[in-house]
Amino acid sequence: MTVWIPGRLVQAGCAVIAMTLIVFASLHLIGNPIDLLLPPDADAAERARMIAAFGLDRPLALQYLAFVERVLHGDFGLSFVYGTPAVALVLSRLPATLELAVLATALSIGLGIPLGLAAALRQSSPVGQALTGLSTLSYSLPAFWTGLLLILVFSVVLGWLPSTGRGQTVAMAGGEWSFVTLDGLRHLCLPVLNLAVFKTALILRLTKSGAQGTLVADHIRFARARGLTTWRIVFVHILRTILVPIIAVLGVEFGATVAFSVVTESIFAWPGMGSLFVESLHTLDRPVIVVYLATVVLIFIVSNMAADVLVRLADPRIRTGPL
Amino acid sequence: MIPTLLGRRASGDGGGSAGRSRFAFCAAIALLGLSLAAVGAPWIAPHDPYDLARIDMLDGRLPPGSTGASGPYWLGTDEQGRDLLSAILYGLRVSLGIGIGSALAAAVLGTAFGLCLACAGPRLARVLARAVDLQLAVPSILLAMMIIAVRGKSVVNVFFALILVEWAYYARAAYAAAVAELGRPYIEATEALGVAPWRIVLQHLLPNCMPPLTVILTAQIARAISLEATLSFLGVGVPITEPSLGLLIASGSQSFFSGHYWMIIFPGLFLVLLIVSLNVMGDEISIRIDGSLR
Repeated sequence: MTVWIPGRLVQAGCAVIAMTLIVFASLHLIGNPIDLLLPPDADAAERARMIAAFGLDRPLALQYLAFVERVLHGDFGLSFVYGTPAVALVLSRLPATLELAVLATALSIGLGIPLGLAAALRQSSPVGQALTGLSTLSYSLPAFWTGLLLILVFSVVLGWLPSTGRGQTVAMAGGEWSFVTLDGLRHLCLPVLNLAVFKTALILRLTKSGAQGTLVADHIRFARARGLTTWRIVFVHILRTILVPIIAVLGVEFGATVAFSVVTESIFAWPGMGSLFVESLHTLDRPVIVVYLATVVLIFIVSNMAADVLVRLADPRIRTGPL
Repeated sequence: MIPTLLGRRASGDGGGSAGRSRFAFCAAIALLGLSLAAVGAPWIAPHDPYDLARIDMLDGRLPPGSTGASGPYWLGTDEQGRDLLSAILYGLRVSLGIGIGSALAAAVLGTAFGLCLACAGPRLARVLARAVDLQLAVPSILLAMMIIAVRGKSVVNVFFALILVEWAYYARAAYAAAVAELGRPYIEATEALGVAPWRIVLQHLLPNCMPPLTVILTAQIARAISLEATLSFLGVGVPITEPSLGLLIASGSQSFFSGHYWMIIFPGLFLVLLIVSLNVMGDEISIRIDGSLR
């Protein structure tokens, strides 16, 4: 383990360097900042002066180094729309997105694993088949449409839950959080449910196919021969075997959940960094777009590493294996 | 009772298999019907939703089943008075066309890349496989949104974005399948017979790599349709002149707080039916291939 973690850090570092290269290249693709910043009546001399001032006349490699230096100082530039540093702007929206993604992941684990076990243990019964069918359906539902349906049913028709905004928030640990107030929890219900639908179906499918494969394994047969109770077999022997792939997939999927909260945040007017990103795409607010993408890729790398550590803790066979 | 459940064979035989096949049959029928409806939209649609001269603003927001100036509207009308059923049929054309077209193009590109990778030396292959993994690490929706933000809204750009998002899945699968096949004796035998390398790849390697790629193709058509709908819903997809199902739902969502549920329900049901039947077909194909390989 002690040899392995630094190795992973080096890998993560390589991924971050690759990411800055891609971000830098896409910065150039989005368009020339001079065209946006220069007044329309400027002459050629003024244009040349501005290009020199931004360092855009230097070779691309030197521009990249200058970009990396600014990034290392945390300077991604000012938002064109808000006029404040892009990093501070995105970070101020981070707690809203994180609480959405974490709660949705927790809900999908809490629902997906028991339902998946039930579907595997009773696969020929109507309950098992209904669960399997339901998971295929939820796996296929486009998130934006389920979001609209949730609003239609719970907000418009029944009027039980609010459909926009975060509700009352409390300042804690450097951010505003909704999950600590009753009003905030009410506002969290629909967006979290919306974000969790796909993930729950995914975990249900994973758990079901894993458990089906494990049910016929020798160690389960021997456990039954030893006279262990069914509960013990299911929750200790089967669950431990199938937990490893589930953790690995969750690590990859957490980054995707953060990314897909773009859709949920847009529908429920949730003031997270995803809805900020959609706004920035429409206004072409370049620094904010770049910071948002960098943040998502960082979250992706960190959650992947965390999952790798957990997988190694859960599965002793990998711990001693090669990198 | 539960110990007998634990002891039962887990391969899905017995009652589950027949039910599953029936389900897959229904999915195939639905898929066929939707494809025919999409292809035949100009002939079977009761109205022409893009003929501005035939659209009456006074018929706007009529509920399903009502009759307006130019005949009955089975599924109601949208804000501009367009017949929703006709708009859905035309939207199905756009969604299905973009989904199938981009998935096929990505399949050809990705498979070619994967096969080349498998035939190249192991060192180059390892570096390039890392690049493919890196691309797969970027969430697809963000990549597609970036590309359309850079290049502007148009059907061609959505196409381009979807191909760029999807090709890596085929590349990885084709690479894995090809590496496994290359180690088999029949490849060695054809090499010993002096068959040209390009013929080995096209006539012997490619057909044997097809089964996993077919499964991915079906799943990826569904993914592409879903992703296109999501992009169009967020306003970074197809332009308003060629509305897909996603864009229909987006324009319907602007007025559904006032109870005009049909504008989001019906296009959504068609979209879900399309994606569900594709996924059910994909599952069925993968189960059958597994069965035939066993």
